[in-house]
Amino acid sequence: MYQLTKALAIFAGTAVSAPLAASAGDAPDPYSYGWHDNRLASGVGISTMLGGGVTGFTDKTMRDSVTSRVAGLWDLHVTLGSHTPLALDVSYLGTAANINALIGTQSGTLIGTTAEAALRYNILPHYAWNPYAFAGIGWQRYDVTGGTFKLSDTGINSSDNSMVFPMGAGVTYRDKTGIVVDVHGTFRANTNQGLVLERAGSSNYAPMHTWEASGAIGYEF
Amino acid sequence: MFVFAAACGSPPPGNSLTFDPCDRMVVTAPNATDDQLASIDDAIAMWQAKGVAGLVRGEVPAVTIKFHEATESIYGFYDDTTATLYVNRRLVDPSQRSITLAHELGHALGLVHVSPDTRISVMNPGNLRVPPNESDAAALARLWGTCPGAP
Repeated sequence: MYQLTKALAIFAGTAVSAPLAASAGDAPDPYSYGWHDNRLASGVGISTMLGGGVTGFTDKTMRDSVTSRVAGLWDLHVTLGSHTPLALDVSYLGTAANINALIGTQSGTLIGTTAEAALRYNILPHYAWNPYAFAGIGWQRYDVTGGTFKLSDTGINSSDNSMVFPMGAGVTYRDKTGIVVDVHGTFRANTNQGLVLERAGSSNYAPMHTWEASGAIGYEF
Repeated sequence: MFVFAAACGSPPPGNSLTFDPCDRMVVTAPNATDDQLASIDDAIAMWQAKGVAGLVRGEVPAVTIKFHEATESIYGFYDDTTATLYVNRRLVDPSQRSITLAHELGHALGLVHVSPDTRISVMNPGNLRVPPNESDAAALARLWGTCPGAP
């Protein structure tokens, strides 16, 4: 009951500064695969992280559609079970890239939004350093913005919704105060793409698979 | 010469540089290759066949055509603030290039995009196949009025 109360208090933001390791109980073997961690208020590890990084398309047509091979991204993700062998990652990502327009005065931007959930396998769930692998499913939307660009005659649609299958690996470091640092890489397989034609006059759209390298910092309890 | 200088009707609203199809409308492409010039002539012929008799290629232009490089999925753009028509240099298929030029000249004549669900038109977004047709000529007539001497 005490742990539940504390978890709720942290959720409500009233006890964020409470020491993570204040809970009573023995620490689990750092190399074990136990499903409970007494050091954490939640007992399983719940983390919230905010991060940023870079992303890019794997397909040449898509890469040529934007001015830079890499675009910036930001992401917010929550992990339920960061100290259990299996965890659930829920993420929200945003990306932005300038479109390689016909003239410099055109300002087209490709805005990407992704919401996804992934099942994550924690290799060392009770150790400070935890390598992990994950795979999941999500929804992705791209919007083309820019008033002048939209007036162009193009083979680029104004928006596209598709399903994505993210997969990748990463490593987190957790210190005793609850601070979590994470780096990970993701390949995001995209299905039913429909944004940019493969070439002029084609009826096929270019694949929209992406890669991502990002880092994040957050807090767990 | 252009902008609101309607000879046979009212110009479209707004401040864009558009041209009355009943007037003489000279286009030029200073740095175009022979192939690109041939596509320009094709596009002009397409509109002339639909009654835009004043559209010609010449040295003192109302509209300047420039061929620039962009990603392959971008075809053309009419900048209505400078009366400059841009076409992607990477568009090398003569037919697609001619249709793109005809489409952008349609913008210079005041036409806007029309969805293929509404009607098949040279002004369909992303169009690379449809030349100006009777419905486009009718759209010009609705926009500017009928030219003197037209049937």
